[in-house]
Amino acid sequence: MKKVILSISAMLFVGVAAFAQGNTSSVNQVGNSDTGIVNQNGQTNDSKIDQLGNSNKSEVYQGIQPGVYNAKNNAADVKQKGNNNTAFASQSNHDNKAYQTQTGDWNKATIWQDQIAPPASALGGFDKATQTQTGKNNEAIIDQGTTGNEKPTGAPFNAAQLAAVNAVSVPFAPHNTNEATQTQNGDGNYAYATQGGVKNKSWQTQKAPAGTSVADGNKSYHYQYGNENSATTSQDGTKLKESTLQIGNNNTATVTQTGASHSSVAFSNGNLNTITVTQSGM
Amino acid sequence: MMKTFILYIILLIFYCPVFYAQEKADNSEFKNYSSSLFNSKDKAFSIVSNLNKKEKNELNSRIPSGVQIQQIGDFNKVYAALKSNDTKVAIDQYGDRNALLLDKNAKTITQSVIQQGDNNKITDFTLHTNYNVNMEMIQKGDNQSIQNIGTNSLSKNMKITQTGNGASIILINN
Repeated sequence: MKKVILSISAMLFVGVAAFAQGNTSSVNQVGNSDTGIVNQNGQTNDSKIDQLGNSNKSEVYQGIQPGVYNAKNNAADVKQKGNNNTAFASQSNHDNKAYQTQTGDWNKATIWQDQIAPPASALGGFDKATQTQTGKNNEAIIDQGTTGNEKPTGAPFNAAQLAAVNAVSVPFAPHNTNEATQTQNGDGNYAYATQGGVKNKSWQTQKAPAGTSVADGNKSYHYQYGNENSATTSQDGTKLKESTLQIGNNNTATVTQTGASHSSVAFSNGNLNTITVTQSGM
Repeated sequence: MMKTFILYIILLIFYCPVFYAQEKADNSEFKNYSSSLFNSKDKAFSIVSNLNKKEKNELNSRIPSGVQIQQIGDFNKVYAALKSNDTKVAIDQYGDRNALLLDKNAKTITQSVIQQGDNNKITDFTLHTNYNVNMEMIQKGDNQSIQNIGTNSLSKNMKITQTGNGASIILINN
């Protein structure tokens, strides 16, 4: 669904376009083959793109006519240095913020914070998403939307857990005040966070030694549906994997892993559950 | 006189607690423990047993690598601090207000914990051991409690099962 919307948006808007007053956009590009696309609908949107290096690309869409120009106060700040970085942000409706900073080679960061489709009650996001990546081959994706959120579809979650998440109604409304921060320093790391509900939080921090291949990189996934759930992951090492799925309200998961080849799967379905995992080698 | 002296020596060796404990440890076996508690309202069973080779293999094949935690219900808590070369831990809590504290440092850890019911509690604590730990803990019912402190050659392969309500086990493995 999001890919369709992205394609339509890309066809409709090329370059920098702004409708309604108060939108601001600043794009600075130094280097070769840089691309910056900014589309802003609504009120008081703000976008800054600063790209230095080769083949960088960034696209920012803020308020693609959700509720017809009811998007306002969105902000997106993208800074990219290095080669082949890619950053994408799409924000719709109300006070969303996204910061993507990438330094290094082949990084990729994507932020979705949208309520593109009804219900109207969902049109009140106070989302924040911050992604900082330093190193090679890192990839971080945040999806805090009520439309098109990805759900886990297989391993490491079992059939009963997948059945539980499939019973969750997505788009999950209302949707606001979610926060997701992903920081990755090192090579080959991957982080993904998706949140539906109110006041969910997700922090993911990953490090890997220099020279770590993509295959040996760390991976962390956060899926949260409900209100005021919190997931925090900190990983330092290689081949560390973490997956958190929380359904309900006020659940908390904190996972810390160091060393090599550890994995953790944390699943809570209910309210006020707590999971704390600390793993390391000998 | 000489015969009496030899007899004393034999009796001393035979009843020496340290030697006796070591001899038990070398066997790596202990008699299964079970208890039952009955009254008009509640009944509870507690069984502590060794995992035999077949059960150990089954446990190792059943649990995938890593830590798998599943909680369904409200107010459940899991705290797991694990340090080992190979960790296979599966934790399932069904119900409300169940709590698990797992703090282990071992060569390898293979452990399954199931708590089903309300207000159950497990505390399993090992500072450091060089054993390959294989353990299974099952509590079904309400208000059950297991406290396991330390790991030795007797308890490294252990299964604890409690059913009913209000049962409690405390194991101290020096």
